[in-house]
Amino acid sequence: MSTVYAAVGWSRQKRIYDLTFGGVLVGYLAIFAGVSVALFPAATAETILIRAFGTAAFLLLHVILAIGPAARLDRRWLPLLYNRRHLGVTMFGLAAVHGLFSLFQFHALGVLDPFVSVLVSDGSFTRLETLPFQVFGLLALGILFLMAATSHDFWLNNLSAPVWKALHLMVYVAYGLIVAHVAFGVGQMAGGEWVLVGTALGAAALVTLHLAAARREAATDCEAPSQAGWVTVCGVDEIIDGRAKIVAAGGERVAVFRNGETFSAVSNACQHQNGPLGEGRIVDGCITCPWHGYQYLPETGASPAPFTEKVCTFRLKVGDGKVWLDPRPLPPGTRVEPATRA
Amino acid sequence: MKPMNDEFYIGYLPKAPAATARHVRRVVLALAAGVVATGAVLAVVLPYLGAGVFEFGQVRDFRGVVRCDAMHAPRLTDTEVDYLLVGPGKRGALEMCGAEGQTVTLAGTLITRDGRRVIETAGPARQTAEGAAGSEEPPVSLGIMTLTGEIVDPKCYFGVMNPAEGRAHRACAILCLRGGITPVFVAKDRTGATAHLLITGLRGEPITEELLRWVGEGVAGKGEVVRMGRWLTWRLDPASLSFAGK
Ligand code: FES
Repeated sequence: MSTVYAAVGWSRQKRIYDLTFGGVLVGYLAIFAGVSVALFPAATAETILIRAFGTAAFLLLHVILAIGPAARLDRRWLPLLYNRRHLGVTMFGLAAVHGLFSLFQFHALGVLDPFVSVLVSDGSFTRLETLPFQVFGLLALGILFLMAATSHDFWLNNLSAPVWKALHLMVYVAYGLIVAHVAFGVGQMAGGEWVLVGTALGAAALVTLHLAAARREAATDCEAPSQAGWVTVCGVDEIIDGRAKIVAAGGERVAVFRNGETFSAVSNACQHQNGPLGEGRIVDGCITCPWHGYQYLPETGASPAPFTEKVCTFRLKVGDGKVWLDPRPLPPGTRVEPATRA
Repeated sequence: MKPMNDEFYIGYLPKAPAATARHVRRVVLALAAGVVATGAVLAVVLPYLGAGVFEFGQVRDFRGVVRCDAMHAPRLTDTEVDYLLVGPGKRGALEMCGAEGQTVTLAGTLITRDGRRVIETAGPARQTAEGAAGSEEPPVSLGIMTLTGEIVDPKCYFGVMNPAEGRAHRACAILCLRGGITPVFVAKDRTGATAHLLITGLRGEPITEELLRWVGEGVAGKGEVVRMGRWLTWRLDPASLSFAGK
């Protein structure tokens, strides 16, 4: 969180993250190109580059899509999530290089404009074998471009969090398009059977991870029993100090935090990128988001000055050894006196 | 709750908590090894099919007689070799037909594969002192044949690109044929042996449009095979084409 925009808010960990990632990426490209040249000396440089960058982008997309659910299932993956957007922007860059080289190699210098050729040269939708795989790739690249271009927090704030989040969920559409691009393109070529098998395994792994994470989350989603408008959260001792319990109430997830002997409730969705605040901690008196560390004061749901983020707050009371919640959200930033153990 | 889950990671602090950092190091090492190994495997399973050579950047002079005949497949022939001519980019070299029957020198770049030679022209044909040569030996019919194989563009197939066959290359091949490059049929028999035939219409006339939907895939078709210089041509009936699998 910051009050001014910088291209990247560098921190030591981000640097380590990017250096490691860059190293692995360069390693991948080098190995791919090296093995290709060694085994097939007749291969042309353009083709090797098209393949190296295309496969790198597709692999990286798998990693990007796996990090989210992996972090939901095991918090120790969170450091990988922290700087995920750098992976995303790089993935777009790799895909763009793949696309541009292919555009030049296969579609330039002909009787048609290269962009027209991409759309019309390949054939028809009438046969499975001639589905124009280039079109799938082009559409995916368009989505990735939009995501990369709006990846900065500047856009997050100016598009509003829900719009931004919806836009960035399009990554799943892009993934589907890329699977089609691969399956109807290289999947139909010599050696393509292995690519098809790999793609199917990758898809199966991603679906399994997402289902597992969704199941874990669904467990917190059964609505708590209510009494005269108040919902039971849990027994007072069930929340560890400095942590939260997430409850589903009124169709929304609410994070009920314990800070010493007082209890406060805020919406579970972080203002930044909808991170699960209830899986965060209280650090220096502030609720701290597990994803990127945005902070909110428990009693107001507002970030400490000079920051301006706000989330909804909720009224709580303690009675019968239990914490009770009024599930009607108060406008973001509304001060609520913390409930204390009677 | 497991003790290691007790840590709380905050990305903007200089250091990650110890157990988390250990886990991340392990995960990242495993991922890095996996990713790099995948790179090697992918490079192995995605073969480069062709063994063509394109002498990119090496323009030299070739000398011979221009032959174009009815099918507009310009060639440059001498006693030793019979080059097929293509233009720069994804274009044919039809303008060479203007020098039909003339002995010329021609600047160009050589493309070769499987004993076949193609020249990418790099300028107009220059007349030599020999002037007009006699006419070429008449074509010899080898009979009507049903062949199975793939329609390709000879420029990419014989060396400019690799792979220049199959699905990923289809759009490019279509564009090349549209640009006036002579279509070539790479016929394969059951033993995997290949033959290359310039494709014409039934009467030896040039055809392109009728072929486009069949390019880059396994197809079968029927027509008269005719020897012309050192090339075979296939007087194909486009209506006889059918898909024949890979
Ligand atoms: S989602 Fe980014 S800090 Fe909460």
